[in-house]
Parts: sequence; structure tokens; C-alpha cells
Amino acid sequence: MTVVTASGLTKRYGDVTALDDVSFTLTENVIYGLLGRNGAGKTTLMQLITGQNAATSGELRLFGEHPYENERALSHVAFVKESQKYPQAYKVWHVLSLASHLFPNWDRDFAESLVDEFKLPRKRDVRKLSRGMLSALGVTVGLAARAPLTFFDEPYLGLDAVARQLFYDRLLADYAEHPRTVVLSTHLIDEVADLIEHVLLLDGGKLVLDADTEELRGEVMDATGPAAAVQDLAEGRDVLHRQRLGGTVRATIRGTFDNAERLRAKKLGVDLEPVSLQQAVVRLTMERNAAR
Amino acid sequence: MNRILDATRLHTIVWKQTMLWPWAIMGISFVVNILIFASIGDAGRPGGNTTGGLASIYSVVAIVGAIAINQVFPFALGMGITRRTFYLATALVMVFQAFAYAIVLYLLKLLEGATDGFGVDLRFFRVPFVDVHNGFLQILVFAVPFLFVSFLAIFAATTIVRWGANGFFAAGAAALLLVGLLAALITWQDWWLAIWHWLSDQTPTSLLVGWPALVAGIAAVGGLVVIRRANA
Repeated sequence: MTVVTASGLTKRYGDVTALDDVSFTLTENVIYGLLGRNGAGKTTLMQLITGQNAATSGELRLFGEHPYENERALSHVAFVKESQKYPQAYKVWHVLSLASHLFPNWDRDFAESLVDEFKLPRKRDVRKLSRGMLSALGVTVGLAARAPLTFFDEPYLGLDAVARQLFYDRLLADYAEHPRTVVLSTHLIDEVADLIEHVLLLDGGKLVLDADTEELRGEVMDATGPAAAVQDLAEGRDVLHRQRLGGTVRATIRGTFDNAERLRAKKLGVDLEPVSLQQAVVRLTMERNAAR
Repeated sequence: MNRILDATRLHTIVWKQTMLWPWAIMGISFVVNILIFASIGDAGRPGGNTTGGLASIYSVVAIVGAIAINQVFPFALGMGITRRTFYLATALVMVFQAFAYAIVLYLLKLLEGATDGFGVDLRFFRVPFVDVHNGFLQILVFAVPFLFVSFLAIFAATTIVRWGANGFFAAGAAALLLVGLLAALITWQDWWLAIWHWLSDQTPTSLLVGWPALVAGIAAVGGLVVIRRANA
């Protein structure tokens, strides 16, 4: 089932185009990675889908309906953002209590266990929480809400490595038991590489990549070997990046290699290795910028 | 409707803080008045020791209304509540608060009457002109000004939420300009006397209840219109 459909989605702020003619669909029960540099339009895109803002032009459907001011569609969505503001008078337990009433699928026990694991002080004023604790509170709400569509917009700010791992572990475990659509917007691509099943890459407001993670992994390879051999192998392929070290060259190449070609690479003394997701994303973004 | 009731909890969950300041500040004003009039002694002023201290609770309630919009709106939006639901929930809380507070003020007024102005002939809750003998009407006379200040403050806050501080000041400037032009027009056309006559012809009920309620209603609708297009 399709959860979100966007076609030609555009958002302008004055003469800044935050989103430029973006089209994609989000399907049920997939973990998406929404990737891109600062200012690429990630947050804007999530704001449009969650009805926090209105698009300048284009079509957008959330559970088949317009999201803006749509109670029914929005009650199936949780949006955890790094920049979430809380009223000054709120304490941690206020936020959890409100969330339990506002999210239909809220799991109280799950929320309590997350609060314990993140060591969140229930009675503390939210405005007195550290950056990391604020993120932990957002993550707790986002996970325990079990919304059919959950957005995490850079939810890890200030979280240490242990707490981030805890978040990824809980997300994956709960996702396995209660499948839903999750969109993870992040800079820490390698950290979530094993988590995300599909990549949406935004760059300068444009959607430059919309591919399954697996597909992407096989699609960008590092070829390392003697310069001539690498040159030979890269013939007719898209070379995203080339690095020379003495007589050895490492080229980042786009495209798939079948078994015969792998065998040939071996004979030529060239090492073929899939690059990490982060490397693939970086190379693809840079290639696009260079081509501009 | 259920969702609106759920959204009212955004405000009522911190009811202690919300209620504390209006009553605390009015309480301070009240105690100071008692002390002053007790130290002056029995001056035997006709009409008793009148004070405008009751205005304090109305000003604080106005601030509470503005905070209810300004601080809670971004959070509500983040929790997937629509602007409309959030606004209606806020309005519901304000109306409920106005009548609840009015009933308490009415009871305090009865107490003041029964205790001879708390022993110092104080007229804190029995404000002249506002002193109506019909109990239900007296509650309305206390409640409607709450609605009046709350919804004007809410309207002002929605202009901030939607357009930022500039929007608020622009709205204020526009209002000032409008009132100024109106005053100039009235002076130019020599309408002041007619207006004074019209005001004197009004019953206390329409002056204290009817017209403020109408203004509050217009501000309430205006706030909804403004907030419906406000973004995070």
C-alpha cells in the first residue's frame, strides 16, 4: 500500500527554492533513509508531508488525502524533529502523558521501558533537559507512538554513541514486531546503513536518488589496481572519483559488474569492492554538483 | 470532537501553573488593599473603600491566553494536531476558565458582602457599576470580561504565530491607525455627544455583557482565521 505520494512537489520561500519538483512514493512497512546535506530540503519535505507547511505547487497525498489540516491523515503520523519546541511549563511526564492520548497506537509499557533505558528524569522540566535528553524524549515519543508513518528528523543530536545504538536497536526490534513506515533523516549515513532499506537523496532541493539500499550498494564500486588495468576496466563506465597513489589507482565506478567481468577484474589484478553507503551517497552527490 | 477534548489536555495538564499566577497576583493585590484600608482606619467614605484591584486577575488571564497560543501551538502541531483542533480546544479551555473563575469571583463577592467588606468595608469584588443583583447576571458580568481579554490576547498571539513579531506590531499599528482615524472622523463630524447619548442609553447588561461578548466573539473567529494558515 502506498503511504505517501508526491509529484512535482515544490516549495519556495521568497526566491529560495527549498524543494524543486520532487516526485516519489513511500510504501507501507519500509524504513527509508532521507539523506542529503544541510539545506538540501529534507526538513521542508517532512514538514510538507506532515501538514506543518503548505507546498507552493505540486501534488501531495498522505494516506490518499491532502495532509494540510487533515485530522484523519495526520493522526497516523508521528514527526520527531530535532527542533521540536515544548511549552515552558511542561515536564517530561507531561509530554509522555499527552502523547499517550494523542497517538492512537501508543504503547505505554514500551514508552516506560525507553524512559528507563534512556535514563530520562520523568519529573524534570523539559526546558532543563540537556540536548541529548531532549533528543531521547523525542525518540521515545516517536517509537512508542507506533504511528503507521513515523518521521525522525535528525533525532540523535546530543545523543552519545551508546544512546544512538540503543535507538537503532529499539527501532529495529520494534519495527520487526510492529512493521510500519519509518523515514529517518540523518547525516550519519554509515550508522544507519544497515537499518535503511531504501534511500531518498535530496540535493539542492532536488531528489537525485531514489533507490533500494541493496541496489545502491552493488551499483557503486571501488576498483583498486594498476592504473592501466583500472582504466581498462572502467572503460565505458561512469567514474565518480579517481585517486592515484604511485602506480596504483582507486576509481569509484558506477554500474554493476557481472561474474565474467569480476573474473576479468581479478585477472587484471584489480580489486573490486562495493563502497559503503555513505561513500556512495557522497560520490553521487559530488558527481551531481560537478556536472552542474 | 474527541480529538478536541484530547487537545484541551495540552493546556489543562499544566493547570496548576495556569491557575497559580492569576489568583496569586490578584491575591497580592487583595492583601495589599486590605492592609492599606485597615491602616487608614474607618474613614466612613460613602460607598465604602472602592478599589480597582480586581483588574489584576484580568490582565494576568490575558497573558495566560497569549502563552496558551504562543508556546503550545508549535508543540501541538508537532504532535499531529490540526490548527483548527488546537484552536477550538484552546477556545474551549478559555471559555470554561472564564466561567469557572467568574463563579469563584461571584462567591468571593458574596463573602465580601456578608463580612462587611472583610471587616474593613473593602469593595474589592463588589465593583461599583459592575455590581448587579441578579446572581446569574453577576456571573456573566465577571465572565465576559475574561472572554474579552482572553480572546483579544489570543488573537494578538495568533498574529505572532503566523507572521512573527512584525505581524503583531503591524496588526497593532493598523488597529491604532484605525482607532485614530475613527476618533478624528468623530471629532470632525461632531459625533461625540451622540455617542455619549447612545452609551448612556445602553443597559448595564449590554454594556458589560452584550458588547464585550460580541467583540470577544469577533476576535475568536479572527484568531481561527489567522491560525489556520500559520506554519511551524
